[in-house]
Amino acid sequence: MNLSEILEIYNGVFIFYTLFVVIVYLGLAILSRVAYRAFKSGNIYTDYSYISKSEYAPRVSVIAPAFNESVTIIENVKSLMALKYSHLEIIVVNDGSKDDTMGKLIQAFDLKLSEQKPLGKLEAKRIKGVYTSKKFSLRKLIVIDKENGGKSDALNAGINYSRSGLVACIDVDCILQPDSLLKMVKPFVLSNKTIAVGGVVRVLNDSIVDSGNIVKVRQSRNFWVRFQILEYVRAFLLGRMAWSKINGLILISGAFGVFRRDVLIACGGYDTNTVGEDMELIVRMRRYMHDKKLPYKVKYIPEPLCWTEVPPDLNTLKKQRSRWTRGTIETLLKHKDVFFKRKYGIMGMISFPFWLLFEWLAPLLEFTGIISLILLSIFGLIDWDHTLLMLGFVYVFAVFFSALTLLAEETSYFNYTNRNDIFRILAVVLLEPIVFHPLIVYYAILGNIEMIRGKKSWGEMKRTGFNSAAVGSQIELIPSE
Amino acid sequence: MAILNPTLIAVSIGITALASIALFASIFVIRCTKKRRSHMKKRMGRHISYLLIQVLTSDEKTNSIKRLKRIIGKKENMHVSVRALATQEFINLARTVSNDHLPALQGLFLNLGLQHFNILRAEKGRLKQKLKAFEVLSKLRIITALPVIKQYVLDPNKTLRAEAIMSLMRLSYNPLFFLDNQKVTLSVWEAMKIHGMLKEMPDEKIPQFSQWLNHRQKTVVLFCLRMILHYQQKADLQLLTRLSKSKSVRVAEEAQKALILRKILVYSDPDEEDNQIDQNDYQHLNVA
Repeated sequence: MNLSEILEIYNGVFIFYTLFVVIVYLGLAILSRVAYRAFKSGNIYTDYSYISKSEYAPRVSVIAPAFNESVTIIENVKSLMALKYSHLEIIVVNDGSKDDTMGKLIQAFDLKLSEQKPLGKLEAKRIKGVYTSKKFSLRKLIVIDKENGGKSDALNAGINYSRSGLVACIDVDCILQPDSLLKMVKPFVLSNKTIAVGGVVRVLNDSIVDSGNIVKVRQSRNFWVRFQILEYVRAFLLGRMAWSKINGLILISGAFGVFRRDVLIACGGYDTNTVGEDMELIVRMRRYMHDKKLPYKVKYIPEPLCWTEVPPDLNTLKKQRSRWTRGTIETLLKHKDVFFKRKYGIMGMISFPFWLLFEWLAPLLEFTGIISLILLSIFGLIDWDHTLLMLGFVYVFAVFFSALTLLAEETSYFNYTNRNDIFRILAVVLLEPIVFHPLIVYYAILGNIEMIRGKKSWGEMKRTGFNSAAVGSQIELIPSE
Repeated sequence: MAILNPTLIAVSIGITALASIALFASIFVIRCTKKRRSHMKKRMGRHISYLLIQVLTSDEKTNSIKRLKRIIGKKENMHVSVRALATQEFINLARTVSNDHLPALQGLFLNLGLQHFNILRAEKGRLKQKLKAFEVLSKLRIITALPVIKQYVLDPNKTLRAEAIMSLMRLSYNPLFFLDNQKVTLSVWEAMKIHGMLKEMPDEKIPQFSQWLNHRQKTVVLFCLRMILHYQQKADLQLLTRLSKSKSVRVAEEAQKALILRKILVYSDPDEEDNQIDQNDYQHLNVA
């Protein structure tokens, strides 16, 4: 086989891979919209206020692990206390914070030591103390102070102390919509096969928060954040809904997910040895149900229920994305025996191969593509007409897909109502494939390298605190501490 | 390789680029239309709401009613149904005003002829229109709508069924009369909604749940047992004893709890004839 033949094959593989990606993403987008419409027609005009009053509603424990969150912790716990749900228990787990997270909690919520004992036996680091409030109005709040063991360990400790059939695991820096729990609980009530439910996570940066509630949704002025807004909308609106439709969802964002406690405990709780604990848990829960031959569903609510702060700078973004890549690889490797096993249904036959090809290998393929492009051009073996046309097609398709995402956003939530938002988004859409995407590929490559080197740590996430609403239309920014 | 044909790729780029431009254009159009419509709706809604409040609160009503009639008579304004907007304002007011103002609001609703519009929407409208019509008709106690809404109690569409049940609960003197003919399973979701609704009702409207303990639907029996416990009602001893031995674990458990409650209620009432009941009646429950 000579060099030109090798090049021909390489080009062929590249073309077919591109076409495959285009078809798969378009298919997912169509499926998502079909599922969204079905969801909307099933949930039209639902008055959740009656449900929030009923003791019939299943009891839910909200578990929020906190590590060095003193900047936002009080606002976050207030947001949790404002949740509309009658049968609620809020468990905040202070995971050995080095700042004054615990002190702030004790002071703000008038906490005292409690004799409460754990009901579960999941492995977790030593508990230093369990606190409840002296105030009757705050009786649903439990604060667990424990030694540092990481997010998964803190969640396991919280699960041990929960006394509910359903457990909602959230990131404490998230702001939940007041009716989010009602919406998330509905699939569990409608079907006892439901084992886990996830919801849309949206970007909070620069939006205005008052007393734990989002007062105004705004687009961030930070360009990196804007890229992530587009990315989040695309992933949640045109991706996960489709996976939920075919019951193939293997990732519920760690920011907000509700789980059946019995299944969660039966499969051993969160894995403390991975940084991709959210994905790993869903895969293990699904495996457990398949192994026990029990019917189950992992559902997804296509509504913005949870708002989170995303990295505002490249350094934090790099840490986050390389960690996500490590988490994905760890989960795929740990459960490699799921691949193409008919026993594991959609998960084994479709979800796992998709994640392998599009989440793990795609950045590597793109990277090798760029390297070979450079090499071929150095050696003068490149057909520039073809190459530029192909690159042009990839770019135009990326813009098209983002436009499709924005159309979906516009016709469903219409969150960004400012007149100029559309032009800002347009700029983001046009720049994303050439500015943001290469960066994401680079961070994914770093994640692969870190994985090979055996890195296990999370890396710190910088918090800026929330913007609070001021009187009238004036906006006052609370400076971060 | 045919697929590498430059013309083909160039055509694909052109088509995709055109599609992207079309998408952006439609986003722009949708945004503008939405904004215009929502602005229009807000303005008109505010105007209608102002006039409604005027009628309800001020002594000079005739002029406001005339103006309302004139506005509602227009039917459509920039593709926005004025009657639908007025209906929405009635819903908003019905949600907020006290019971004292409700008859006046109802009178105004009838006076403006909105009941025919909403009954028609309840009969022939799209799903959302039906649901809105149900809410306004039931909140304003338009009894003539009862037969129309009643036909949806057994509808296969769960949302429609649940909202019809809610509306009938508001309209009817016996809020749970539909349970008599309940042929389909009462879902936990529906049960939660019914319970939430019952909690808003005055005590005299809460029915005796024991009347449905012989129901053929196990889910209805379970719901009634739970309500007996919640409202601390005393059910028939024999019936509860029979249910406490039911094959359904959940029904048996709830019946046992209801039996215990019954025992407590009976013993706490010295005039109660049932005080004479032999202790053996409760023996199988192993009550501590």
